[in-house]
Amino acid sequence: MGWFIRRIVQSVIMLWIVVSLVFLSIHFVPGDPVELLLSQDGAAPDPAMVAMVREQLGLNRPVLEQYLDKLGELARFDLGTSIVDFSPVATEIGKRLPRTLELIAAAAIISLLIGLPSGVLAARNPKSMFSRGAMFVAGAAQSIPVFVVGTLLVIVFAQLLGWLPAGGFVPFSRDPGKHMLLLIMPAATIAIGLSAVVFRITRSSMLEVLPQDFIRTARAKGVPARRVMIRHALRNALMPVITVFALQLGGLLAGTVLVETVFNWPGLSGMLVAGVNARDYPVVTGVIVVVAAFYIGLNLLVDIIYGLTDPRVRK
Amino acid sequence: MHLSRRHLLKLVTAAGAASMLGGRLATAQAAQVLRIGLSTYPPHFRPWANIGWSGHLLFSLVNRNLINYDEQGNLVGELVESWAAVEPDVWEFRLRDAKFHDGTPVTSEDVKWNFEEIAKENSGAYMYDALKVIKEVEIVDDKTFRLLTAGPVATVPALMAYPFFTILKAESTDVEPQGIGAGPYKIVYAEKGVGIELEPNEHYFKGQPPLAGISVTAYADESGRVAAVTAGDVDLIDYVPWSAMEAIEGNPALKLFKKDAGPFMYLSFNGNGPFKDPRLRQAVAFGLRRDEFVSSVFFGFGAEMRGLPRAAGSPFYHEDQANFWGYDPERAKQLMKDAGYENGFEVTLLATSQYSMHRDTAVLVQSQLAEIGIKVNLQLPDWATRINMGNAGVGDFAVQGNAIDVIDPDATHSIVDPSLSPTYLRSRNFEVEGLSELYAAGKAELDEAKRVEIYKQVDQIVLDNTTICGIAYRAQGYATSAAVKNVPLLPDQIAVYSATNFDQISVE
Repeated sequence: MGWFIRRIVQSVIMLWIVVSLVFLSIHFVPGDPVELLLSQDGAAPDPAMVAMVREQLGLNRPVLEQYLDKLGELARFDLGTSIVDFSPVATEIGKRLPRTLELIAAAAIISLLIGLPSGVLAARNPKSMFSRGAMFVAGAAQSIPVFVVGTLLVIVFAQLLGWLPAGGFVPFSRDPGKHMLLLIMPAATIAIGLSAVVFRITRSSMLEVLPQDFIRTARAKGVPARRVMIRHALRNALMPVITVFALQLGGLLAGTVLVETVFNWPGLSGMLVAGVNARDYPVVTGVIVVVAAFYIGLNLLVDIIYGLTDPRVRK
Repeated sequence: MHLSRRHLLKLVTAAGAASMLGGRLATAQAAQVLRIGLSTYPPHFRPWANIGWSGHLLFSLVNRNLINYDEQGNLVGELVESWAAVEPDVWEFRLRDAKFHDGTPVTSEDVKWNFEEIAKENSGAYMYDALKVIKEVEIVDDKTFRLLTAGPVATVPALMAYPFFTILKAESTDVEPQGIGAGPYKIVYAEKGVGIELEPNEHYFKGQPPLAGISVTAYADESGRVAAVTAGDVDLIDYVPWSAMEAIEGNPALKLFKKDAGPFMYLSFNGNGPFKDPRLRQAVAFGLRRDEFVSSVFFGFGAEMRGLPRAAGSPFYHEDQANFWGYDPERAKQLMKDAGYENGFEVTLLATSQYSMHRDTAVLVQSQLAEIGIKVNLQLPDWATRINMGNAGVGDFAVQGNAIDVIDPDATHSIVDPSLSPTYLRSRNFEVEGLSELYAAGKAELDEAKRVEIYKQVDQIVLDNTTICGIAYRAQGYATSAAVKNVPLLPDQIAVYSATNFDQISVE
C-alpha cells in the first residue's frame, strides 16, 4: 500500500514542478500581455490605460503572490480565465481537447491500418522488393516535415482535384458529413509519418520473433502460414509496437500544432501557441497543466498496473 | 440478401462519393451566403476596443459608426444624416431614422451612452484618448445631439468615423458582451477559433442587406487562407499575402481587390544615441533604395514611401512633399560628414522575426545602410518581446508597420511627433521645435484652406527633421471568387478599414 501512495505523491509533486516551471518561465519571458492586448495592428495604448488594465487583471501584484494564487486555483481544479477574452480556460480546453484527441485517434487508426499489415508483409520476406521499397517509402515519410506533407495534400486534393476542403472545422453536431470530410486530410497528414513508425517497428519486431522456436514448432505442426504470422508471430511482436506507438501518440497531444495550423483545425496546440503569442498566462498554464496531468496520469496508471501484476516492481 | 465483398465495396464507395458530392452540392446551393476566410479570429467581442483589422472587418458587418467614408475618402453620414459646427466649439448632429438589430430606434440617448461608456477609465476603448476633446454630449431631442468641445476642434467629424467607434444600443452590453448594433448583419452563432455566422438585419436602415447570410472562418495561416479561396471553400479572404497576389490576379476564377498605397513600413528613431542629430536621421532616409523594398519584401505589390502618409487626391497631399526622400547616397554621406561621422557609425535596429515583412525590411535596411557606412546590428525577438522592448526604448531605431485611422491630416500626429508619450510605435528622446504647436493649430482651425497651409508646414518640418523615415507602402488586398460583386475599397492608407462599406457586397 505504501508503494502506491508513494507513487501518487510522486505524481502530485511532478505536477507541482511542471506548474511552477511553466508559471515562472511564462512570467519571466519578456512581453506584457496588457501591452499586447491593447496594441492590436498598430495601436499605441496610453501608458495610463495599460496600467489601469494591468491593475484590473491583477498583473501588477508581485509574481510570488500571483503564483500562490495560481496554486490555490489549481488546488480547487480551477484553471482561471483568459486575460484576452475573459472566457474560462477549462471550458475552452474542454472544447479543444476532444478535437485534438479526435485528430490523433483518426491518425492512429489510419496508421495502424497501414503500418501493421505492411510491417508484417515486409517481415515475411525481408529481402523482397516490397520490403525494400516499403523501407524506402517509410524513411521518406518519416523525414518529410508534416507541414510539407500537409501543404502538398492541400495543393493536390483541395486546389488541383477539388475533392476535399482545404481546411477548417465544423462541429460534428452541426454537420457530421462535413466534419468527417474536414478530418480526412489533417488525420492523413499525421498518419503518414506515424504509419512509417508503426511499419518499421512492426517489421523489426516481427523479424526478431519469426526465427524463434515456437514459430518453427507451429509451422512443424502444420498450422497455416497466415495463422502463424498473425496469431503466433504478430501477437508476440506487438509489445514494442504498442510501447512506441503509445509514446508517439502522447507526443502528439501538444505536438499537432503544425497540422492544426495548416488545416485550420482548432485544437489544443493552436490554443497553446495563441496563448504564448498573446502572453495569456492562464491559457498557457492551463493547457500545459492539462497535458502534463494527462501524461503523468497515464504513467501513474501504467505503474499501478505493473505494480498489481508484478509484485517485484513494488520492492 | 447475400452481401458480397464486392457489393460492400461498391456501397462504401457510393456512400463516400455521395457524402463528398453532398458537401459540394450543399456549398453550391448556399451561393447567397458569403463565406469569409478571416486572417484572425477576433480576440474578443468587447465593443470599442481595437481588435485588429480582421476584427474590424467583422464588426463593420455588425455595427455602424455615426459617420463613414466613401470610396473617394469623403466623409459621409452613416447613422447621422447631417452635421455642422453651429458654433466654433459646438457640433450638431442629426440622426437618421435608423434601428438597432432588435428593431428599436437609434436615439440621441443611445449615442450619449456610448460616449459615456468609452470615457470610463477602464473602458479599454481605442478612441478613449481621441475623444477626450469632447467635453459634453448635449441631447437636443430624440434625433438631434450636440458635441461640446473646449475650443474649436476641426477633427470632430473625422473622429466619428474612427475605427471601432460604433454606436450600440444603450445598456445592451449588459445583455451580451458585444452589445446590440445597427449594422447590416447580426451575429447568430460564434464559436471561438472556429467560426461565426451572421444573418441579415431586417431593420437595417439602408434596406434589406444583399446576402442571405455570412459565414466567417478564421484561417490564421496565410497559405491556408489562399488555398481556401483557391479551392472554393470560401468566397472572400482578407490580408492577401503579397506572394500570392500575382497568382490570384492571373486566376480567372478569382478577383483581387487591392490598394497599392495601403498600410506602410517606416523607421522610428531613438534620440538617446547618434540619431539625436537630425542629419543622421536624414542620412538614413537618403541612403535607402525604396524600390528594392517594394520588389523584394512585397513582391512588387506596394509603393515607395518617400514622404508622409497622405491619401492622394486629398487637399493635404502635395506631390513634392510626397517624393521628398529619394535615394541619394552622396547626400547621405555628406550629411554624415557634417554631423562628424565621416567614417560611419554603429547602431542597433529593433524589429521582429515573427512577421516576415518586419524581418525582411530590417535585413534590407541593414544591407543598404552598410553601403553608406552605417553598421546596423539587428535585434529580432518575437512580437510580444519586440513591443515590450520598444516601449522600454531599446534600440537606436526600429522597423514599424502601421496604417492611419482617419483621412484627416491630424491622424499622422501620433506617428510623427516624438514629443508625445513614448510608445513602441514612435520616435522618442528628441524634440522638433514648433511641431506640436502646428498640429494643435491645425486641429483648432475650422477653415479647410487654412488647414491645408498649416499641414503643409507640418509635413515640411517632419521631412526636414526626418522624425520618421518612410520606406514602403504595402498593398492591402482582398481576394474573392469571381461570383463576388461590389467590394468597395477605401482610399490608400485607410484601405484596411474598407469593410465599413462591405454592406454592399453580394454574391451572384
